[in-house]
Amino acid sequence: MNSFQATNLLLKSDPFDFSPEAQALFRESFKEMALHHYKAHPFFKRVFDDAGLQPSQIHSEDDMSHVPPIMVHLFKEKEFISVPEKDIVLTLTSSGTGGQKSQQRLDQMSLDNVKLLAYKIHERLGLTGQENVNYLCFTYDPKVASDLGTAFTDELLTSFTGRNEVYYAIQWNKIKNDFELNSDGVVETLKRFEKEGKPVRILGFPAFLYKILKDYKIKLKLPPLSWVQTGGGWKNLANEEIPKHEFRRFIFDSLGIPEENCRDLFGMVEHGIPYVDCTLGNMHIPNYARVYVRSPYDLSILPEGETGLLHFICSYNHSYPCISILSTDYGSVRKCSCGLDGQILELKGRAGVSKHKGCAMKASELLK
Amino acid sequence: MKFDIEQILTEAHSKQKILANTPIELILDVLHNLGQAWKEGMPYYKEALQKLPNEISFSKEMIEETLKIIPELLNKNTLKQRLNAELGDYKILDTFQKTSNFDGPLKAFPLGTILHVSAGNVFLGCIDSLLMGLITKNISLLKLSSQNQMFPELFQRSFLEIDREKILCDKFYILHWKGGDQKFEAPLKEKVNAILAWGGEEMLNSYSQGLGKGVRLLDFGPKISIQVLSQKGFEQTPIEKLASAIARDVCLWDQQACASSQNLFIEEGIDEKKLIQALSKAFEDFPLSRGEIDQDEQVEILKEEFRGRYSETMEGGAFSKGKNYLIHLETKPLLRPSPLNRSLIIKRYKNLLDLSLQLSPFSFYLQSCGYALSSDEKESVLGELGRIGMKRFAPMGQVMDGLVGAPHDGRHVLRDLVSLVGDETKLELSSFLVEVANQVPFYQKSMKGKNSSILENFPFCDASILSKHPIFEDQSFIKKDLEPGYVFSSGGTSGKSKYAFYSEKEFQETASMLAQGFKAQGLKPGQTVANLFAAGNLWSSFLAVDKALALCGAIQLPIGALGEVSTIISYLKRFQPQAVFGLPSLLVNYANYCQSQNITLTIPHVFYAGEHISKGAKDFLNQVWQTKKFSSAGYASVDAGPIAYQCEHCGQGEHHLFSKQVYMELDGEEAVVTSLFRKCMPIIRYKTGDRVTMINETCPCGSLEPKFILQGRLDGQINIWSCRLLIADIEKSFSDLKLTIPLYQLRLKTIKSGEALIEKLVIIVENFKGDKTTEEKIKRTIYENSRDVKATHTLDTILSMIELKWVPENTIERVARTGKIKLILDER
Repeated sequence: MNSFQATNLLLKSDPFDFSPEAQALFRESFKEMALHHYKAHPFFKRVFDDAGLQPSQIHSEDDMSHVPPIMVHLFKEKEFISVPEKDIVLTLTSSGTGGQKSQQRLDQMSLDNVKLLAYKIHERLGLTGQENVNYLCFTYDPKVASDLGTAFTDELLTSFTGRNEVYYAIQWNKIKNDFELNSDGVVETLKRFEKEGKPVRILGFPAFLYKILKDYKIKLKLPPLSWVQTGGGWKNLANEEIPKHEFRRFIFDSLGIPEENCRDLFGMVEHGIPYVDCTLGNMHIPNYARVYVRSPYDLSILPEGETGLLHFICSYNHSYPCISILSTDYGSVRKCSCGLDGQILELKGRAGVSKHKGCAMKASELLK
Repeated sequence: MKFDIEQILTEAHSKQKILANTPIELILDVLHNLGQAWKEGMPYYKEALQKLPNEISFSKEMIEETLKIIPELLNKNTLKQRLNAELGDYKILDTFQKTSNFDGPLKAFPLGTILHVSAGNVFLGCIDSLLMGLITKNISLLKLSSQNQMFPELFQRSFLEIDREKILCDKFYILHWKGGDQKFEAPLKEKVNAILAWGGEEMLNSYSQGLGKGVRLLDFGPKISIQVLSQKGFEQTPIEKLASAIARDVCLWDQQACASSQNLFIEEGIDEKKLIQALSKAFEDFPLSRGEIDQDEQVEILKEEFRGRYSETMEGGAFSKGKNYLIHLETKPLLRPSPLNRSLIIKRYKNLLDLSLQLSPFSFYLQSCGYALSSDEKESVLGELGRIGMKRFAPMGQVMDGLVGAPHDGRHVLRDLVSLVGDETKLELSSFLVEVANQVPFYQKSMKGKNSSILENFPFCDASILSKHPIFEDQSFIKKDLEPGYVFSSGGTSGKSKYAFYSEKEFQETASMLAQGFKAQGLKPGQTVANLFAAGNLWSSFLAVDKALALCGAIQLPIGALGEVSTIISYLKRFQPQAVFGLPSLLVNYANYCQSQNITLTIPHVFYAGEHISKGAKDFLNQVWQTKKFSSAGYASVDAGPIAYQCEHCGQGEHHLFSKQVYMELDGEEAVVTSLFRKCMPIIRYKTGDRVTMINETCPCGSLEPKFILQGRLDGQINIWSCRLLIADIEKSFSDLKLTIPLYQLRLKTIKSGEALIEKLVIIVENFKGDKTTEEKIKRTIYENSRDVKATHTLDTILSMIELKWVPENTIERVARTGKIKLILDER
């Protein structure tokens, strides 16, 4: 048992309990973890000092809103660690579509915490079970890409049920020395899963699934209790992205999976909290996190419904001082009518790297 | 915007010929007038100033500064300067013209129809691109950027109002479509003659594909610019001035231009804290406020802010931020693009090698480099950075100004917008003669009925003929449609006033020929040279030498000859020239003055022209000024122009003919010349009055120009006592007796001796202490040296017929206008 008692308690609590006690527990959890990073990492300390805030001064939700962030790109560019190197048990990286890969460095406590909170959230949303399920993962085969966050996530997600077969669609091609999407393999697997009659869960990048179903004009009826759980965004196929409700309808038409069983998930390697769709297709913010929407100009908090930069706060991570990060995603927060407490997160696109105005070179061009 | 691109292309192509045939002067006039309509406070200026802030992000002050550039950009002289810088001579857009460094004439033909794909960064950029198209007579299709539409449309409106004659306003099209729309782009890429594309790599890549055959793509992709500050540069410049200069190159146009500095490289050892403090103040004080920043740009700045704070905390860097700027000293090496909008990333470098290594991975993208370096560092730093790909250098604070006609990204854009076509015919005698016979009244008349392609059919011309046709009252020798140029007087010592006309280009050619001769005589760039020819009075020498010395790269002292002698000498004393150019008799006067005033002056090299320099004069100048070298400034006359030059290997009187420009024939011993480059006032078969002998030998200087010996004036002989007495014989006599006689005059008189009239030669010698013994010796030696006289007369006869007179300094009568001494006065 570690000394982070509030955190231990928090992660055992209902992720969508927003009672005053539950909120206070999150604050305590954050406070104890912030205190640890404040002592352990000079830059984390600097950021708090610049904001004129000590972790010990956090008492209320209003205090939480004054917690300063570290901008997420620094985690891609710099090495961050708040524990001895020897304590790190897993290093995860992002898929790196923007050219730079971010990291998450987990000690045992943090790894246990992130697994636990993910399970708790999925459990609460009815996405866990005991039955044996056939998995089709549109992600990298974890046997090859064990340190990629998405592969870790899918590995994690497939652990929430009994597993029959797991098929990874992005496979290592020895000849090309690179990963590639095995489209034919996916189609063949889907047809086979349909015949087997066991529930199917499809996980991973929505763009790949959409493209294959569309290109191969798939019309199947997958067994009952089948789910699609997408995550990771549309990546390099952003120009083909369709609205979520259209995607859910398309899945139903192609695979016979009910729309309410088609859930999207938003997560960031650096942050670790999964924001999972409810039945209405809205990503809910659990009490394991706080999300503020800030103006990029002065970092002031914007009213509910307004779009700004998303500031994510969590408390589970002991090894990596990423418990308060300013993302480069635009988004907003609002309430949802599905019945769950708390707010939902709405993503509005990537921030930064403005459209090219002219002949002065921008970083994005040099990174290509 | 709805339009039919095929129809526009057809229309554009149909206008190519009209624009190609429009005189460039007319085009420049229209643009100049347009520029006047955009002067500060004029209606279009006001309208743009009112509307632009709603469309683009620059602050109103920045927009105002940019608008103020328009009249200068469109100024006729600026445009000519720009064209001349790139094409050599803007007139080659109209006709075949002789340009420097190419023997034949050149003409620049427009490519036809050009598509301009503009960037939206600096709103004037698209207008400048359009301007480049129009001044090279190309029909232009301007694709607007989505960020910048109002201004070009307003500009077009002003064009329509100013250009009522439709010289240019219907020769360009302003169009807009969504980038990448193949409905528009495919036919354009196929059918225009060139694409001038400014902007991001993605756009440039798209325009590089699917081009029609022969379509020229001039792509100007994204570039990155930097500044370099060395330790010495830091120490030598006041910190406030340095910081203001750095801030200016960053702040103008909010770093959106390719020349905007994104990184400042500072040499290790510079007081970084002091520098960043000064920079912060300079950014705060920059007079033009920053424009509005959109959310994405702000996010990029925010990222840099976090980098800066991290770097300061964890890596020994530094960071400073104000309302409108950000400065980040980053310890990690290598160039890195900044988030722009007045965000400066500072990097350290150890030495030039380290600087080069930090930049070279990005060599393809490097553009401008502002520098603050000591003079001893400049050459090596600029040399190395240029080698790795830097395309432009300017002192810090001047990077955004740019010089008119400077290359862009390493190339002359205007030159790329035309085809340069040469007419590779050399200056050719027979076609020149035909042209002259057709265009010049004197020759039209004299050549009537004759074959004008044959030189021998032309009459000789000489001073007396020219003096009968002074050009202020008689234009017989002038071709029609006179070009700008000079009128020079060529009369004086030898008779009635005559005048010669040189066009500007002809005079430039003259200077160029003279410069060739000066260089051949050892004149080196950087030498200090005094021009002691007299200026004014329609004289050519001062001006011609001035232009020629400029071509030689000399440091000139344009002293002239009209000031007080004491003043002239004081200049020479003060500046210690390595060479002087002047009239021999005047140079001797100056030397006399030095001698009389005990002024020590050393002038190693004398270039003379205008009159003969005697051996005595040379000896005298050598004695007073220690002059070691005497060079002819060239064999030339105002009427005929330059004829020949001397190289260092030429002996006494030897010359190389300017054979490309001058045709020489001999009439007996007399040189008769025809200048092929003088077309405005051509002189055919001009009798020089000089005796020459051709030499058939190869000169060690390597020149293949024919050589001849200039033997002197035909009238450099005296017919006296029924004999031919040569001036050269008289000078040889002085020399044989080792007498330094710089100036003298010969007077021929007829006196009565009893019943007989006898011819007497009086030699008047100036400023020489002679006596009876010397006189006797001179007479005897002249007798010995003159073969003709000796063969005809006895010594006693001759001794009685020669008289020497010793006169004081400056007492021989001079020609009032020129100061020259008439060598021979025939008073018989």
